Amino acid sequence: MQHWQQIIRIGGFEFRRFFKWKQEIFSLLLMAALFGVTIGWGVLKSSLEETQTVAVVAPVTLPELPNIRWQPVTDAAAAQAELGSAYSGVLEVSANPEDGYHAELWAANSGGWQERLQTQLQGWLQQQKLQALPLSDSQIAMLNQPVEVTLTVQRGEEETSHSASQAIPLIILVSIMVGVFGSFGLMMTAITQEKQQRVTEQLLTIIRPAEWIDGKILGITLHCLKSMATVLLIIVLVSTLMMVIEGGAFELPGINWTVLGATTLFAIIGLVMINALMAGFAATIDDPNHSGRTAIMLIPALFVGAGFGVMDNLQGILAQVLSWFPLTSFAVMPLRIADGSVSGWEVLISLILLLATTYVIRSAAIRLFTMGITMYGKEPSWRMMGRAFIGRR
Amino acid sequence: MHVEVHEVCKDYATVRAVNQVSLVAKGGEVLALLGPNGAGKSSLVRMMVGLTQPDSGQIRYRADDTQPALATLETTAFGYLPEDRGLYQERTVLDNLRYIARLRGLNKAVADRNTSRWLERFELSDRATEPMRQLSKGNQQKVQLIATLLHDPQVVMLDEPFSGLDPMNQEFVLSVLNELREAGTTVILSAHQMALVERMADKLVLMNKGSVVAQGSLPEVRQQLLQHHHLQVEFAHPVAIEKLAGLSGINDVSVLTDTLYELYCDEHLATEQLLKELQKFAPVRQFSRHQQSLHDLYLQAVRAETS
Repeated sequence: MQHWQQIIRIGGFEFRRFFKWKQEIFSLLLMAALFGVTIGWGVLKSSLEETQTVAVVAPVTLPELPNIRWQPVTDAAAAQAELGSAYSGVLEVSANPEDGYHAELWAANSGGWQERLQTQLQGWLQQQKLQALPLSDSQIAMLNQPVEVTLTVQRGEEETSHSASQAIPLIILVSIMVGVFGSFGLMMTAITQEKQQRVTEQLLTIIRPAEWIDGKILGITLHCLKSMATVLLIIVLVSTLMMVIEGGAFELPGINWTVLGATTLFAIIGLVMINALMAGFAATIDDPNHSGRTAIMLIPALFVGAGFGVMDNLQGILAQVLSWFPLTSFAVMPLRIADGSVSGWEVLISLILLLATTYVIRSAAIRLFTMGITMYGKEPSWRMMGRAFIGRR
Repeated sequence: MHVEVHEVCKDYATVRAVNQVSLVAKGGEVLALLGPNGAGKSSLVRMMVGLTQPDSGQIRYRADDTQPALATLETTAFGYLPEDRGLYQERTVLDNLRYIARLRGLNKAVADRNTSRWLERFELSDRATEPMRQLSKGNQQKVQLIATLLHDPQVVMLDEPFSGLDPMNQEFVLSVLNELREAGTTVILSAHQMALVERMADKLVLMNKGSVVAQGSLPEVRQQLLQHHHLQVEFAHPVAIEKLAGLSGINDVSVLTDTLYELYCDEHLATEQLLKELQKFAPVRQFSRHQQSLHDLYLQAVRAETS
């Protein structure tokens, strides 16, 4: 009991070390603003764009287009002389009985509005051409209707649209990546700061290295989970808000509890494993600014990177192997669960392997931590670290 | 609480850091470890608090002479101020102290009460909510000492407690250590400040190159370190140095002024007999025994060991 009390005390202290209310609120606002700006960028850009005046020589009245003001003229060549001053562009539309319509646009400088104008004008002239043909309204409507190929993935009784099945794994991976990078940053800071501030010797007379590292893993894993939850919340809220702004109904997305539960479980165990690895390794670093070993601590990001690599084919053999392999399973298995392409026994085996590996890594990390934490001004050799890792003196 | 160290040795790579050291510190005693850098003081203290293990020998603790010895101390029973020390710089004084108190096993109410009491004693109550980094080096040192004492330990081990403190704060720490002694706490410390140690320590252990050079109370250590009696004699007029050096029991003579001489004598030389001999050369105006300071004895002993 005393052992667990110490771990909880240390975990709480480590969490509070990095949790600051002002900073949290600022980060939340900043993230919300960034997501908002990213999603609402098109609307913002369009609303801030200048209106372009285009001189037009055309036998028909052109439709109104956003940010374009038509200025009818009779002489296109004369109008071209005023390009860049009176006009941003000159458009000449000609009606030819054989070809239908032809349009030519001159501009003083290239700009994004020209491409948009070309696209919109093309669509409108195409409709004019169809109207000129001896076709009924229903025939025209049929021609305008694009041929749609609908993909429905059906597993058991569940049906998932393709876009949703792509978005959910991506969101899961992004949040796990946030957790892993958080783990790297916080664990590195926590331990190297303690070594530099000479806190270690006093604490090691009070607590055992195993209690200290377990407490750190607890506190920093909680912090990483908090960051992941924050990112998820922001994504969901901003997406919902944008839907409302675009005219949709206010509706929070449905939660698949199986996916959420499995993802959380794999993420927690995975983060514990990564944090144990980081803690053991960080204790061997003397000065993070000068140590050549700091980059090694980024390796766990590769484990999550494996998830991005197989995201487009979650039914493939590589995805299957990576979802069982304990160093990558915490990132890949949740994707396969979200995709629905995994059976229960696979999840169970993967979970058992992940738990066993986490236990082994934690035990090795304690030995590394115990060796490295009291070393000041020098770092253990790779040989020493290797021997500590496998438990040889 | 008694601390007993029995023939302890510790080797690091090619160096013997501690060599056959034995000592005993009892409750209500202040034991000072003295010695130059690299003498083995910190290595010995680190073994006593369990950070490292002796290669041979034993370190034991017992409540009193009648109790059986324990191989280790409960973390709540001792306080340790390491030589390489620090606290969380970005956290407040209060956060640091509460964290250590809780890890020491104090419940929240006792931790808060003891923290407040010690902060008040060290006149740091008004700085309690400031981050450690905003405190001066001396005040940080005081917070460190509070962290060592706030659980009211029975044994306190302090590695260089006076380093980084100004004379006022040194006196203050000295008074706190005296209070601890009066309360029955066993205090073991290592220090370089001889004058302070001389005033406070009940027992001294002088170390050099990992071994004990002398130990005991201050008079006992003096006795062990004293290689010669130093006598000063002033004559009414100059005396040939060869005459003085030729006297039985005189090992060496230094000329201080024309008429003032320092004589290095055998330990058991009878001074009354010597005075009679000296008066044969010239009338003696002054004849006195010169008392060496602990600092001088310490330097002499270490130099002798080194040579």
